[in-house]
Amino acid sequence: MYKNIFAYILFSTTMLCAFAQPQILSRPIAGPAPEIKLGKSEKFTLDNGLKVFVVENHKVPKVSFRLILDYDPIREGNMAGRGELTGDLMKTGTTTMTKAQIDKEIDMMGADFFTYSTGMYVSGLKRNSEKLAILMANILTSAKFTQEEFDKLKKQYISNLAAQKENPSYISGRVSDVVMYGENHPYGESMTEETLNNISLQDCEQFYKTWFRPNIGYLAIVGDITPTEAKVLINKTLGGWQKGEVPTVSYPEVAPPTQAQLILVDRPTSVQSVINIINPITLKPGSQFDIPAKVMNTILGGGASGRLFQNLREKHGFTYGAYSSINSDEIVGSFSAGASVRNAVTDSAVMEFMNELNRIKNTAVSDTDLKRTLAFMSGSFARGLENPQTIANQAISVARYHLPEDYYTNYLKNLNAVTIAEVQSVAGQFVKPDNCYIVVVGNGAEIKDKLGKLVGVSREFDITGKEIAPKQAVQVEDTPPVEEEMVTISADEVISRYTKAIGGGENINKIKDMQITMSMEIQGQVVSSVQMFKYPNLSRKESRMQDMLVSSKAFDGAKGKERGMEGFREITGKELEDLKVRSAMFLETRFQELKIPFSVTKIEAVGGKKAYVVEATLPSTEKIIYWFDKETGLKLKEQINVPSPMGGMLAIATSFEDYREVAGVKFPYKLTQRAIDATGKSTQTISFAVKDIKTNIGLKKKAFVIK
Amino acid sequence: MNLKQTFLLLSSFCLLLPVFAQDLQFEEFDLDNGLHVILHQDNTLPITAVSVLYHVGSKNEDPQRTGFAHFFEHLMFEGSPNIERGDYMKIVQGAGGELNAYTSFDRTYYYEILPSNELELGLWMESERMLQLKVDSIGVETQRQVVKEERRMRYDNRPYGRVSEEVYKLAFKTHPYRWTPIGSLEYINKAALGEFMDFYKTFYVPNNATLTIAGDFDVVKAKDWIKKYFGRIPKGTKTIPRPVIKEAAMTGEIRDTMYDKIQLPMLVHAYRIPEMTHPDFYAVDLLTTVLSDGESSRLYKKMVDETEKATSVFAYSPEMEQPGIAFIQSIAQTGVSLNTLDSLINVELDRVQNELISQEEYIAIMNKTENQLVSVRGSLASIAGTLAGDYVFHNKNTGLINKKMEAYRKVTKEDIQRVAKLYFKKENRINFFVLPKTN
Repeated sequence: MYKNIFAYILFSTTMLCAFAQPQILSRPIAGPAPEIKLGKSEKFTLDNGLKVFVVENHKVPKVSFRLILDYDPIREGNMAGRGELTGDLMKTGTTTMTKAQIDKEIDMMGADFFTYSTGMYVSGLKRNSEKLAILMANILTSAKFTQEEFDKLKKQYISNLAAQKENPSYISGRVSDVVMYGENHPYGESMTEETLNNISLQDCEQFYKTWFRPNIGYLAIVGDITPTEAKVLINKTLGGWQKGEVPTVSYPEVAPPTQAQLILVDRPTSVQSVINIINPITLKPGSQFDIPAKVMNTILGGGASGRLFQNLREKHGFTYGAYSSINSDEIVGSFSAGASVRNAVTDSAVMEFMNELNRIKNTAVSDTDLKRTLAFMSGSFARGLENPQTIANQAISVARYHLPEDYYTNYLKNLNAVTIAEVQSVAGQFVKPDNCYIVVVGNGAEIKDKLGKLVGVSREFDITGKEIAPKQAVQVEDTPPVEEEMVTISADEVISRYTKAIGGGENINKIKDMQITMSMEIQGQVVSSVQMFKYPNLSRKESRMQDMLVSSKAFDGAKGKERGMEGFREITGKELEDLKVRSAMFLETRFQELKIPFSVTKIEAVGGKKAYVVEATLPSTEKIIYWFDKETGLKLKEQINVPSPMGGMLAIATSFEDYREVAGVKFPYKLTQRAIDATGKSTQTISFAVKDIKTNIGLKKKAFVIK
Repeated sequence: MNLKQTFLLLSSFCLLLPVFAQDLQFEEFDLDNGLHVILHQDNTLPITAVSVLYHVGSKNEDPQRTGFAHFFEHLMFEGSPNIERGDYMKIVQGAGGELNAYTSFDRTYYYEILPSNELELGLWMESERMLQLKVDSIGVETQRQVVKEERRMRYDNRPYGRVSEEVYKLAFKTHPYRWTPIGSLEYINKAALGEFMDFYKTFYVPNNATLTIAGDFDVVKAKDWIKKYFGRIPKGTKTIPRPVIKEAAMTGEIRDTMYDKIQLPMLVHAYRIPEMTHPDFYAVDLLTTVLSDGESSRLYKKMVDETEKATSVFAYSPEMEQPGIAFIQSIAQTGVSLNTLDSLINVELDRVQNELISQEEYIAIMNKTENQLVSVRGSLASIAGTLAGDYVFHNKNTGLINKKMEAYRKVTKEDIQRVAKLYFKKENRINFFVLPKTN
């Protein structure tokens, strides 16, 4: 026993020490604090109302121009995405230049040049500053959009939207915005393929004409340029920019939820959960609460010394980083806290977040924590001044948010005057563990149950930000027995009706081999699938995506083989016996011949049609269930169970529609497959369209051998 | 554009030579224990950057312990006999500073940016962890989890996140560049305390480190402190292993495919190229600029703008101490096959191999390069990193920062054509398809 304890102590204190004798040398004492001098900026206003701020800095021979258009965020509704599209279009043409000419001019200068819905940013070498300003002005005053560039951008946007669907951080941001602001708020709406398709070239032109106006603009000119040079340059280039009336907007009220809500987005492939805990707040930039709120946030989750980081990372090892942020905004601000954590600790991590949120709200911070945080924030402020853009930003903030002229001169003084009581007061005001949304994007199967126990209210959203109705219609499709209708015919009869319906035994027997080519779209990717059969029971099914083999499975009369993304394998045992049966051409017409037990069990509705349900038992005892139309005799649906890649069994149901005749036999041209999990929930649906069916093309046996 | 305009444009874009009126000034020396020190003084603002570059990266790892150097970097924040576990970050931030570190194939880099009156603190802290790092098993186990979460967040749970490690694996069969710094979960799990000890004693020694100070400080005082804090650290006694493996030349194109949870397929070409000190490296870098920097660049214009087959295309050549790879990667538009992207890239490569680039393109790539190079001098942190890196990886050429543009300007159009032919050929590349995984 003693020995064990001793071993434990040894283990827990195993040290990585380079030297047996540690050298004691204590922390040095800091010298006198240096004086922080703010940078200078000069400002002037053009006749057209454009406010210009110049920060002269000769450290590197570069000059940048940054334009901020200060307009009320616009709700674009069914045209969401119009502003972004317009921003990108700005760079695609003017009345005197084509896109190619603009691109070339920018690249010849080696410049950075970005346009967006709320302004532009242009930066380059000093010697090109005049050319940069001329190009910027040409774009702002004479932008001219073409249908060609408009269509091109729209296409790119649609592709990018598709790509973002796989990005868990993007999904988290999207869903957070929707739940917090609602879709009727400019901060909560987002573009979709549908809204993009509602936008016309004229809509973007209108946007440009309305919102790209100098009287709502702030232009920061920073770098290797004197205020006099800047003034001459800007008067010359942007003096002729016409001002215009810009509308103002009002917004729906955004309120926090009445109780904490879990918002789950199931992403089955996730190996981490992206947690984002959010609530809306009322905090205007530069208001009396702004600085204390930021101090409070820094203590809670502002960096590596923050409580969230120390707790979730350094204490528990749940995450690479956990942070919080507080965002002041003139319309509605937000508080958020989040981290990416592995699936298994998702609920524990949410618990720790809630603990920390409650702690900062309910318990006064220590004097040490406050002092250290104030020192850190003072240091950040000083370091920020190294970038001359900061000085321009400060000047613009003063003008834009109507702050006192000396707001930044007094910033350090006001920051260091923040008290423990103020920190606790703003925590109570802005941190809302009982009135927040806990948005989690992750693997539902692994995290959902445990999370559900933590929070009373829970809602589910899909990856596009649409809420999934709480009472899910778990039903696969149709309702079982319509009425107690008796089956009055035999299974043999059902099969012979089917045989007749598709063309009759004679025509079927004439077909000695066949090749069916189908295609389907999976998330925008075209997958083509070819099925080949040869009498009596040779088969091969192959799927390809852009010439890459996705899967291939074949039975050559003796051996069954499979090649796919997981590699190659030989099919053996019961599975081989099943494959042998399922490789038979027109299997349903040959149950007797192949000695497959089958029976008719009931009448059920399928897609509004009454159908006989026939069950056939494969050698492995696995069943195939068929639905044959009571009216026409045709096969409407079949279903088989397969092992699920996630463990357990998965039912695959295939519906058949659009029968067309080929060589005297009717084949379904539309096939819809659904995967149904153990709970009866349909997890995936894919539709195949038959492109081509060829019969009696002389397929050789070797075509069914996979190497 | 008519001829006259073209002429005007060309003449006004002429190349001006001196970039900065003054070279960046610095001094450098070695301590007796082999620590190299670089000092760059700039008293404009009361802040100072302190950094230590250890000449060790993932290429120094045991192939059975990939991810080790990066894991170790995390442990360097654990403490020393004078700094309690958990205090390292708090002390720096509490002094108004910021700190971080990163690990690459070739280097492990640590830095603090401090108010200038706290320079001594920064030196003390860096010397403490170089002299007497203290790590216990709790620290190791916690950081093991943290590193695994970092891997999941950055690579496993992110679209295209695992592409680069697959490409490096294909590009190198024997050289340790065949794995990436994050390493594998399996080996992160296996790394043991005793192994860290050995690694520390081998690589974290003053004779394998470069200390750089950039910013506002008093040179005399700084030198005293450096002597006081770093002079006490004994020189390493072990030989520092450097991989000498020379990867055999490729004999033919390698093609492979991976499936990822993505919507749009991605094509990656990776071409084996020389190390960063090789005379051809600048030309390779300029070639990638011709190919994809800016919307008038060849690949962007052809693939994204004109044919609309790609949503993005990006060529770049990471600087590596030993021969590495240059990438061209492109994401397809919806419904476009990667074979289409492949042929578009091949056509553009043929063109750059068979004819010289135009004078306009030449001017553009020089201006772009200059724009990037001058930006390096925009912050003290970036100056410190550049000085240290140039000393360690460019044969002690610390002053390269002042000469680099000149070196780029020496590259001719013919050089660019030559390296395009020499390296950007089919037999010398990995052709890698990343396709959406279907369920």
